[in-house]
Amino acid sequence: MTASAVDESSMKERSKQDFKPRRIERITANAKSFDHSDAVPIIESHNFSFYYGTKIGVKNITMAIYPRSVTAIIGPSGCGKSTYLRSINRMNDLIPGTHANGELKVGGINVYDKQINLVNLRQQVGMVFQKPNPFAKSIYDNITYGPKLQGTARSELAALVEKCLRDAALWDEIKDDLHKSALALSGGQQQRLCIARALATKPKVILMDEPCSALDPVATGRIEDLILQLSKNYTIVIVTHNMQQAARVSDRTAFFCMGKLIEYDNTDKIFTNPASPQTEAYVTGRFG
Amino acid sequence: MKFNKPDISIKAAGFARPLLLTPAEDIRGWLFMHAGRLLFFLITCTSVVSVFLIFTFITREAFGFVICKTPIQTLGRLWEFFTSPRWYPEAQQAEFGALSLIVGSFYVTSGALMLAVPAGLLAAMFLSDIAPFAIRQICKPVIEILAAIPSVAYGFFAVLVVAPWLQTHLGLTTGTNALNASIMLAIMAVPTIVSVADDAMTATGTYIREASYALGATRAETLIKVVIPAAHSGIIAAIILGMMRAIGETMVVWMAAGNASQIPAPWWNIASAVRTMTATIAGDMGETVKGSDHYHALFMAGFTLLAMTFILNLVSEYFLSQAKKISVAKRK
Repeated sequence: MTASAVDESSMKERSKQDFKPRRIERITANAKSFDHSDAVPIIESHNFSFYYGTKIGVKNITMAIYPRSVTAIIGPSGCGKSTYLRSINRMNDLIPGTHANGELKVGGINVYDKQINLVNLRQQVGMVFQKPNPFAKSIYDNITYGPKLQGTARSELAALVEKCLRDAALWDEIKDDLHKSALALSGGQQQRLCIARALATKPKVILMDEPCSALDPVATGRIEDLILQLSKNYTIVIVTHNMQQAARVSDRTAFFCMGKLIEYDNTDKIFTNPASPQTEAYVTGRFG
Repeated sequence: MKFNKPDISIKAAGFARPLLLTPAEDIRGWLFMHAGRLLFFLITCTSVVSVFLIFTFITREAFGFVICKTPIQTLGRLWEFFTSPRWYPEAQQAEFGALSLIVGSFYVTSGALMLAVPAGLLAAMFLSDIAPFAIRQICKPVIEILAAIPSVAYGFFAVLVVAPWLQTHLGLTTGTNALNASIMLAIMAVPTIVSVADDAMTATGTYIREASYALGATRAETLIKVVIPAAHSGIIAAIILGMMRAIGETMVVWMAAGNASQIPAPWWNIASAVRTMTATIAGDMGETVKGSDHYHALFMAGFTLLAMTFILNLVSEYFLSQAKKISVAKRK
């Protein structure tokens, strides 16, 4: 009840002030601040290929993703962008009959190494999914799920919940309803809860698989603001169908097509002066 | 110009076949629609009406046992039925204490559940979350075949295989006893429990599993902390449906339970022979005189059974509707 009321009022508020043309602002900001020539990549793939049985998911992807920035992956449906994203924290393992070739390093360690500790990998490389998928538990229990698995002391949980919800810009809306079911929240709130839940395991990287595709424009705007906020402290990789979104939130953009990486560069370059004609056709809407 | 009713003899421009019904077609359509509706309605009514008739018939015949000349006698009858373990319907001084039968039914049912619930739930967990797709595709239909085997076949198995085995290996004096019947009922209840519980757990969807794995949970943690809590309504419904199957089963308990109307003493003596309400009804009904006290007493036992399964059915419906609500809420 209170949740929806808050949503409505915030919607009015937003429609007044928050819809300014963020894209231009962002791109000029990028041009000034974005230079990774001396940074060490946090995720690095070298000739990485992924197969569903015999079908190719992605092939020979070589790219580097830098810390404390937003990297967007765009491309037409079925181009392998989600496959690549889900390989980074090995979520593709859930699909039987898949295998990977080449290197995909997170923090210098190949995640397809046999020795990999999947629990630690997934807790430090968090994920937000296409559809909001909170557990059918209370908001509080949703956030403490990961920390409890890590063995975080009960006494620290309350503070952690507040911190995560504040970081996900959700605290003020739901601080009185922490013990209500997470399923009672609106879609946008649920998605921010999922982001808060991912933050609770103290990740370095957050993977987002089309996080706004099930949300309305207002909720999408809030998630995008949140992504910009979070990119100060986290590395964010976001897969999106929405090119404006990629332009608004990301520092670098990779364009995938037919399982291959076509072009990967600073976002303003991709959207204003792409090197590949295929990229140009896609970002201008003539293809895909 | 005024627009009159369209003339159906005129073809609309470009449409080769007329777009309006002719009066004959109109009447034919009306007739077919209503005839079809009536047919379907009557067929549906048959099952609804027969349920209703069964209820009234059993209730009426059972009241023949209960209603006596004075209310005190009536209460006495009921009191005897539910509290006395002495079931001697054909004796000179007939006694109709059904407690031993009711206890017998509960005894074998709870014995069966103790075996079938852990086995069924573990199998359901295996099928929904652990087994590779191919194994699941093979196992589930095979388990469901268990439910299709006629109960008299289970009875044969109980008498010819399980009973001698219990005698020789466990040293029991009689092989046909509560333990034997419980084992058989457990085997019969397992497919129901596995099937419904597996459906409930599968219906929780990949989304919440992915969410859990992405937070660093192992498969065991995901199953115990996310999947089972989310599917709990369906799992409870599965157990109740299994229980209904066990409580209403007749042939197997008649053949395997030993048919001695006694309360096991001491209470944990699973090797004692028992007699259930269902087996009593099936066994005695052929020998009673219609309208006699014994006849009405059997209907009273039937009424008790009906009431129990009816309540269980309501409870399971409630939990299944809860399960449906949860999965719908998740899909939104």
